Amino acid sequence: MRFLSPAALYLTLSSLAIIVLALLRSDIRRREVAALFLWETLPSEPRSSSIHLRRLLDPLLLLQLVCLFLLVAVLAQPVLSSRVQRISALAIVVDASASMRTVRDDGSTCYDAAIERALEIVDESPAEYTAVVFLSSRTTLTTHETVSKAPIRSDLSASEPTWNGDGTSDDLVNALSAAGGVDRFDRIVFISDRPLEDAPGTVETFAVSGGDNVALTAFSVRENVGSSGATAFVQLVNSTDTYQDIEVVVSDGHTQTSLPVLLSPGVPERVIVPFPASSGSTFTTTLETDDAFAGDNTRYFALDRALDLRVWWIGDTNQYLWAALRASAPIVEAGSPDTADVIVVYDAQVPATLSGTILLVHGEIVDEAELAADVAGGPVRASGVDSPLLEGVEPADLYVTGLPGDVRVPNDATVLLEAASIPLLVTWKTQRHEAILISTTLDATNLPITVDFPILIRNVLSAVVRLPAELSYDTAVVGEPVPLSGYGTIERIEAAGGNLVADTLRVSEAFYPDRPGLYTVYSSRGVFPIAVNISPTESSAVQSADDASSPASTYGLADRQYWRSLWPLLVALVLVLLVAETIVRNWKLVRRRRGAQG
Amino acid sequence: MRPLLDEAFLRRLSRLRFLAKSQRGGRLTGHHVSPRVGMSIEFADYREYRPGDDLRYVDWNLYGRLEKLFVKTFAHESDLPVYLLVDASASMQLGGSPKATYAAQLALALSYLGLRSMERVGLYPFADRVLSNLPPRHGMPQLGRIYRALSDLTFGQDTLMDKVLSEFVSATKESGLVIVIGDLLCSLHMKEGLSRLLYRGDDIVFLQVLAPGEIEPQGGGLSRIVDVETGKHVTLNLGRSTLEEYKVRFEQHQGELRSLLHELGVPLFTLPTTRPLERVVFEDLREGGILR
Repeated sequence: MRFLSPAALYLTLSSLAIIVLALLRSDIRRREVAALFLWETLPSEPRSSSIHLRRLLDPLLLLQLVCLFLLVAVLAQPVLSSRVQRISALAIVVDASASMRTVRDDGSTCYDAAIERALEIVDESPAEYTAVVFLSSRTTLTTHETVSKAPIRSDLSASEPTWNGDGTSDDLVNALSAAGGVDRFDRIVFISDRPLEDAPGTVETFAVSGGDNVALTAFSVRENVGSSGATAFVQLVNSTDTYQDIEVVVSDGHTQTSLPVLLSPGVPERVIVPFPASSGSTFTTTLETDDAFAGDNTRYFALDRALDLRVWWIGDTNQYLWAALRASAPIVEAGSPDTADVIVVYDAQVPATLSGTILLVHGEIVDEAELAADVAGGPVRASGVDSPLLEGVEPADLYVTGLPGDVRVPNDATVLLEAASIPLLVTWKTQRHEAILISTTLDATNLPITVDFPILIRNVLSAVVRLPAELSYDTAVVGEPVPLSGYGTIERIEAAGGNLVADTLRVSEAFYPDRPGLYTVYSSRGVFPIAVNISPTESSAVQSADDASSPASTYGLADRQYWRSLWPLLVALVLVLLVAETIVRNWKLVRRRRGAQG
Repeated sequence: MRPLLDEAFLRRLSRLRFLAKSQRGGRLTGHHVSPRVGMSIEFADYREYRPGDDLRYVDWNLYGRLEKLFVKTFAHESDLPVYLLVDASASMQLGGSPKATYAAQLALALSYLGLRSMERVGLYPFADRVLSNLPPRHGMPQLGRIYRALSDLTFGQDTLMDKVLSEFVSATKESGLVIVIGDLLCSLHMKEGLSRLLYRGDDIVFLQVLAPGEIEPQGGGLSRIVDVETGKHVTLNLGRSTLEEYKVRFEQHQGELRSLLHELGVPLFTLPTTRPLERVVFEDLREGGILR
């Protein structure tokens, strides 16, 4: 046992004061009698020399001294040392990606095996501090600042694999940073069906592997041009050691088509599945196989439908700008400024009360954006501000022959491009509207003849409405955000079968699907299907055999000394002694009172 | 102080009455035969008629035979005034169960007993003098007055029995049964007062109430012995020999008290507060001839 604040032990000297006071205390008891004459001249007993000793042995005094010593001990913060085989900090990282659902030969999943292994590690490496990381593309972390294994075991046992993609080393490092950093941990154990690339050197990897897998790794559909129906593009991977004769089925919810495919072991295969009878916009492809991981035997696809861009035009018509707008999205003319997605002001002036998104091309807003007379221009250069509006735009390719000598815009406006030190492309926001100003007419620039112009306009519009994606195998992936900007005002999102996934109150700028399937977004601009698949990486070849026997590194499991605080015990003891003192005191008072009756 | 008596005890008390050793006159009819003749139902004697006598008591039969007027006289059944002198000195407050409480309960029991048997009962608390007086009266309302007086007792200083008895004689004109309740741990200089009472024809009874610790003190160690009545004190280291010596001295005091009272024919009952009140009344006082 030792004391964390040994200086407090000096307070034991105060016991001397108690002893002195006890010695000084008069020990003469008062005894009231009815008749003193019966007591007068009675012979007094000779006083014993042991009286002081008896007084020192007074149980009350002894109890008080013991209480004092215990209280001083409490202030000195006593701790009791104990030695246990324990490490300081342990991190258990379990791969919780979708591929961990792969079934093993014994019928359990890779995740079950990983959890079993993790529980063994908890038992063999008890730690003061344990972090449990469920690594996936959406990593979760729980920490346990206790030596008790029960909450950690409970945490692990109650967990389930996700449908998310694999987590990365960065995800792991970020998670561990939230738990004190990689360096804090004496042992970091990663249990997964595949190794973690660029993992910190201290990470021990335990591999778990599942059975053979045949997977759909990509799926896309495009409508036939000039004829009805569609064509599906499917990519498959046979991760077994044998040829697989399987059938690929593509369905649009109403009709389906199938194609038999012979897959070579270990070789990705791309097949085109004609689907002339298709008339739907959402598709599902299924692999007719009985492999170890069923999660990648189905993939989904939804045809992207462009939104009409509602434009309200003010001022002169400019064919270049119209062309750029139409190149970006289907354009319709809005019935009024209030219903427009974009208000284009070309070489005109509009009132400041206008609301919405305003694209000003040599246009003005009264008392807000005003342009002076044109002066000679020059090469265009970026102001250095990073903005999505300039994504894909090369300012060096642009030139301005003339632009207003002075561009007066609100103070908080952001200048993105300049020419002759005069703002050329400026954005700002007010409570009423968001404005993008090209300060000169298009005729005074080379913009219409550069590829940067439609890109710039597309960038402007993509901030306003959702533009159709180009043909791609990339679809939304479980666990990763699906951007919701451009869909208009979201009303709700439903999963297949009509299950409500999110409503208006819970929808933010992005939506994180937690399982694959076809989702439907209901918004003010219409109904949009979204296909969500598991990450293709979940179907890549897995490790062939468990490798859980030899850790990659040694860890500091050693005799560790721990200090257990004793003050609560001492406080409890003091309370008991104080009660005892009260009892003794009352007992003595009663006895004295009885004696005084004489 | 709450000198309460339980109901069963009171019912049993109603079967008792005071037994006076001598007969003496009383104002109202009671259970004691008075030597004075008067109007009562018990015939006593004849005497010659004197002018002014009540003609209703002329014995006409006797006049017919003797032709002399005689009037009938009757033995007068007189009530017995019972005077309760209760010690209200400071020393009565001593004791684990205070002697004053015991004394008050005893006084209340005797009051009830007396009033039930048509006696007049009065209360005279005393210390160094008679502190107050509640003259003897009939009837149960008097019990309430006595109860209140006992409850509101204000304890005085030391006890001066001789002075108290003299004051009492002066304050009361009628002889009766004088019951003194106190610890009597005071100067025994009271012979003169007692003699005056006896001369007047009073019956006197002393009920000495003592705390157990006064009879046999316990404890030990260095003690400041304080007289609660005078405030004087002595410091003694109490041990076995000192306490034994005290007991000798106490017995000596008691002996002197007994011999003084015995000499005057006054009965003394020493009652430790631990002795149940029922045993005092139904055993001690009955066997002592105070009650019947």
